[in-house]
Amino acid sequence: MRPDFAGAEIAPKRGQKGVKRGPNLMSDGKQPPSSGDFDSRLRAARAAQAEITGKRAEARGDAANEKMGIGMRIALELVAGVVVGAAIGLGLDYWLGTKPWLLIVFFIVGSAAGFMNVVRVAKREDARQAELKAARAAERRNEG
Amino acid sequence: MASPLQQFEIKTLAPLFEVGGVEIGVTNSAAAMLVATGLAAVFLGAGMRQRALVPGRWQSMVELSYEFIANMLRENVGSEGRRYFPFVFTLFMFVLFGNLLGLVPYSFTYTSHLAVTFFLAAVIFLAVTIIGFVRHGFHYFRMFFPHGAPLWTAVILVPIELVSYLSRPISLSVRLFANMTVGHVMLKVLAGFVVGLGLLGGWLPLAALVGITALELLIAVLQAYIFTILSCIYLNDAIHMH
Repeated sequence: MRPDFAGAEIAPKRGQKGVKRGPNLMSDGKQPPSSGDFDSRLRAARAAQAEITGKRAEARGDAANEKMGIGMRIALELVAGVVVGAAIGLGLDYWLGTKPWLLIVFFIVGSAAGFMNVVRVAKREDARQAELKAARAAERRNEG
Repeated sequence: MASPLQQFEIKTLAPLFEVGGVEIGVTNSAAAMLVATGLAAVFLGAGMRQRALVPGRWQSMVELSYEFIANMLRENVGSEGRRYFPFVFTLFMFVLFGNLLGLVPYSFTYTSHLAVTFFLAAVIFLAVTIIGFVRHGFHYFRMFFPHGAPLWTAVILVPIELVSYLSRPISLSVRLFANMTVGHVMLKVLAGFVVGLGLLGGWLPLAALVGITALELLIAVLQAYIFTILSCIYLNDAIHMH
């Protein structure tokens, strides 16, 4: 927010390059509205805008796309743990000549790691959702 | 008909020299990377040339991408993450432009090669590990043992945590590579149907193709975002530990 440019920002003139624009450009006859008035109008406009974009996002299914991303992440996290565990097991077996015992051990360890990763992603996502919900509730309280 | 996998073929465009029997040259993949880097530089550089106080459309796009990554770093890493901004921003731009460039017909998608994505992921993994050890020293090994767990569980937990830690570059690289490869194969297969069914029946797959192309555009951006945000999360783990 830049209250000193308030007048210029409300009514931008076409063709004016922003670089050269300063407070002195407000001297085109119009009196700039006081910054208190501007603040309240800005707040009202922002609230309306937030409502519109929020509704639009919900309707468009932005949330669904995000969920799809999380789902993909979780599925891959599970697989990656198992693959890395099996690879370590195979490598160590090859190196130490203990076929197939380390593969079995590390396969299990890898599966556990995969599950742990999944739980971590889910927990982080839960925390984020709760935070978002709280922020949204606070915003609504401020508006009302 | 051309195989749907033909698009991923590496061709050497300009052979340069040989090192130990390995031919080094500019391949179509390397050329695509150069083009993407150049485009990103032009997008950012030319967009900011005017430095207007009230930005135009182009400058707005540049500022939006800057703020997008800056906010991502602040939310996920905190103020300590600011010094890693240049790297994270470059990473995002490189992946994003690679993904988007791949959607241009006859172009090459370098992010559809595991060699490229795994290299990126390996650099991030090594950098994050080094940052962790530099900041916490020997203490960084506490990453592999959850706080507050009984000591005897270390026998089980340390290997599990170690594997979990090592699986990060795999999941990071495979996610990007698989998404891009699958998307492009799907596009090519559907395009094959359009040709195969001819003027009479080709319209249905063509309609699907339009939809899938839009989806691919979304996935190109989404995957660049996910790749970057996961790097941020790993960076956060290294800086603050969990």
